[in-house]
Amino acid sequence: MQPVLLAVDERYQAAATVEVECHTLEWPTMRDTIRVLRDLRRAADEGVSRQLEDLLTVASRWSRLLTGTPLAPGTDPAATPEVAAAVRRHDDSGLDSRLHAHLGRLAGLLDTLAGQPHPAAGCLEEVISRFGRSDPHDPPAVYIASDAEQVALIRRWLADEELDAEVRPVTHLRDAPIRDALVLLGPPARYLLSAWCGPTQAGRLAGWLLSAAPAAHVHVVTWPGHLRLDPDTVNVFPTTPAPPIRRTQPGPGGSGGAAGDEEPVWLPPAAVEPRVTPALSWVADRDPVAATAFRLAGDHVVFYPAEPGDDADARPSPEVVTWDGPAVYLTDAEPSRVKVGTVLLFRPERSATDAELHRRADALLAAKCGPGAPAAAKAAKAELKEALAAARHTDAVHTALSAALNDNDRYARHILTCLPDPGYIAPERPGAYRALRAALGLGPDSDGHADRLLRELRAACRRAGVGIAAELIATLRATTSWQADLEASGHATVSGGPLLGQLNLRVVVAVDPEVRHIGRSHLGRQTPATGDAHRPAVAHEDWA
Amino acid sequence: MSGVLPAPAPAALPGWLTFLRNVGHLAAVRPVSPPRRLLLSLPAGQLAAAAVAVGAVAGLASYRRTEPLEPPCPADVGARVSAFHTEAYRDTLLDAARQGEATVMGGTTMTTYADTIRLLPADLPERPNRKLKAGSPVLDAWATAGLAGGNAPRLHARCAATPVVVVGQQSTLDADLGTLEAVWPQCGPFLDIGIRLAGWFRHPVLVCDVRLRPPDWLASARASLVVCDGAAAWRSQLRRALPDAAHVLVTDRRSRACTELIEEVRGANPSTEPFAPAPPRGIEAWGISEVQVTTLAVADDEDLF
Repeated sequence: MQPVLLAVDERYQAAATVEVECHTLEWPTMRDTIRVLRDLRRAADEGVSRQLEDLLTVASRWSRLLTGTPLAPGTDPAATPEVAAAVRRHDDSGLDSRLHAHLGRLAGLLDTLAGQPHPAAGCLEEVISRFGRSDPHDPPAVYIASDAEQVALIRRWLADEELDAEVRPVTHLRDAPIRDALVLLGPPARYLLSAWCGPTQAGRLAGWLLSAAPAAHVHVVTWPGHLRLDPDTVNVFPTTPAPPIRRTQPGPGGSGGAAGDEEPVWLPPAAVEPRVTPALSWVADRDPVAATAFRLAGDHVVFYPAEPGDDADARPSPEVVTWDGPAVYLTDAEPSRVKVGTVLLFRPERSATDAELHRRADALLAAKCGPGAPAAAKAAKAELKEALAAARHTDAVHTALSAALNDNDRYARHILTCLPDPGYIAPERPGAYRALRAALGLGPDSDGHADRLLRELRAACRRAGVGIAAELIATLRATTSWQADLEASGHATVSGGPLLGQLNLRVVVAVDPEVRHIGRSHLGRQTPATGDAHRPAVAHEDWA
Repeated sequence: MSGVLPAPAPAALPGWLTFLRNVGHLAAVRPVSPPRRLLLSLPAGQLAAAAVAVGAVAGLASYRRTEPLEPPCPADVGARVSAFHTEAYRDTLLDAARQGEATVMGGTTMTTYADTIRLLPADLPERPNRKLKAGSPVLDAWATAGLAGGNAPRLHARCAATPVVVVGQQSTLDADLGTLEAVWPQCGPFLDIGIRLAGWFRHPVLVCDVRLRPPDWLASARASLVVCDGAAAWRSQLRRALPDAAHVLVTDRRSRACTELIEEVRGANPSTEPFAPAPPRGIEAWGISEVQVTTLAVADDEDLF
């Protein structure tokens, strides 16, 4: 058989025969610690000191480290004693005194944890030692799935323990060759849980780690701090029965769920770091537009028009990136269709692209209509725009134009009041263009020359635009690392070369429910959310 | 072409490939009402659409369906028709149609291939003839495919009248067919893939990009099967423009877009329909009945702006 066919067949065979084993580990101290942290988090939502908010952010990172790695809590980089000391200092400071009991208990639990080993360490050693390379030149027989930022830590731990396994970020396992075993540190949902992806959705999206894993055996090692492993989320269709999962060392009640938790006890940092709202100073502008704010991963914000206006041409629309395997799609979407989790593309260096577009359009136009055509077309375009600017809000012109357009009053009013977009060329219909020329007093278009030229200019711009869009999509298709970056951190950067510049991709993590009036020039631009990070004007719940 | 029909020895063909071929076969030749929708979640996305298409065409070639392949009647005289004639597919006008007798097309009396005459949709664009000579790879593949019930051009024309539409990337499909040649020799020429919809009535399989906007004439054409290669294909306007055909979605279980699409479909609570054969372990299959599939209204925006 062909190599491709063999590889695909191997993947199907692995999916058909995969054996899943769940190792549920007890760690009572960690379970209690996480519960206290969760209580403090809830208290923080009702209002606590800024210092405690900072402390909870530190504790969240600490818990993320210990729920994603088998590192001993008492050693670096977990540094549990330092966290315990910080908690104790805060408790002693007298701030948030109503939480004194919680803080005292947390400090005590952290002290205990500092002297304990990580239970996953022994389990991992046992699982990894079951598999080995048949030949020294073979790659390791075991994968360990990790969060992208924890890969190096786990690799170092494996080296210290002299264990043979390959650590890969979970997104790099999709196309990984089939090996003997895959070890998941926690249920699959843990890897994708984020501010914009809840437990159920994360479970379904990561279910392939069990049902289409790049290994013949999958070992899920789970301990307090993880979500419960829900076999029902592994399959995507409701008619498919849940896969058999062999459980070892079941937890209390035989549920097998780590600490029996239904909700995530570890929360991703983005969910606990203080949310910020767009700075209100942006409101001050002479040309305000009703806009919706979209908060982006990586502490950025972007505004798009809240309602489709008459002057649609002059308003930017979100460029939405979707992908399906190697296929990448780029679409201009209505702002109302942008939801939490949508991936938006930003091109900060768009001016270079626009200049290239005009250059290509001019070349196309010159090739078709002669070397003087670009200049003549631009002159015709400018003539119309200047006349429009001079006639803005002129009733006589409005009446004449409306009558010439068969009482299309809406269009006549719009064309005489809006600010034309720099890319606007001319009315597309020949009737409308002639009527506009006549109403503006520009005189007749001899033989329809200007109309024809503007049509050719429009066609050339479209052809050039299609060419550039194709290059943009080809750039995104050529590299797929941005997909992994998006899943890991919510934002990614792709170099588009001298033509496209730097391309930024960001996931929408929240949509502001409030419509704001902001300057037109702010529309469509990703901007750092430079509010007071610790005193958000909009409460967390508002960013649902 | 013994690789397509009948099946090679079971040991030579993996179970998942047999299943995918059978899915195409059954979905194409057994039209049910309401039209069948089958969603497949697979451990790998490669090869699946091509395997389903191979099964579908092999099934269509051996299936004796009459509807919607009725011969033209006298009332159709003067209409544009397509037929296989003197080693080529030709579009011309129907001069005369007499029941049980020779049919005259473009000044030529059709005898051997009279049953290849198909009425063309009124607004189908003009097309040049398509030559398909005896001895060409396509007809060779059809002649050696082990198909019963007619010579190769006749079978080819019958399949091309109700083609299989694959919504996806042409290059991917071509590459996958190249790979599948290892188990189904000559499956590439057998499928004889046409690009976009202009090859209707001339190719048994048409591959179209997901962004293709369905032309108006599509409403009067009939497809046997729509194979959607990925989530974007399922969401495409083209799929929605062919509501009467069976639809098969092939998705890669590892793809985020596919999982999100299936979540959407689940959210609509479609009724589950039984589908045979049962998938082998490792493949998920879900037959559903789509309540309403309508052509998306193409934004008829005022183009004054």
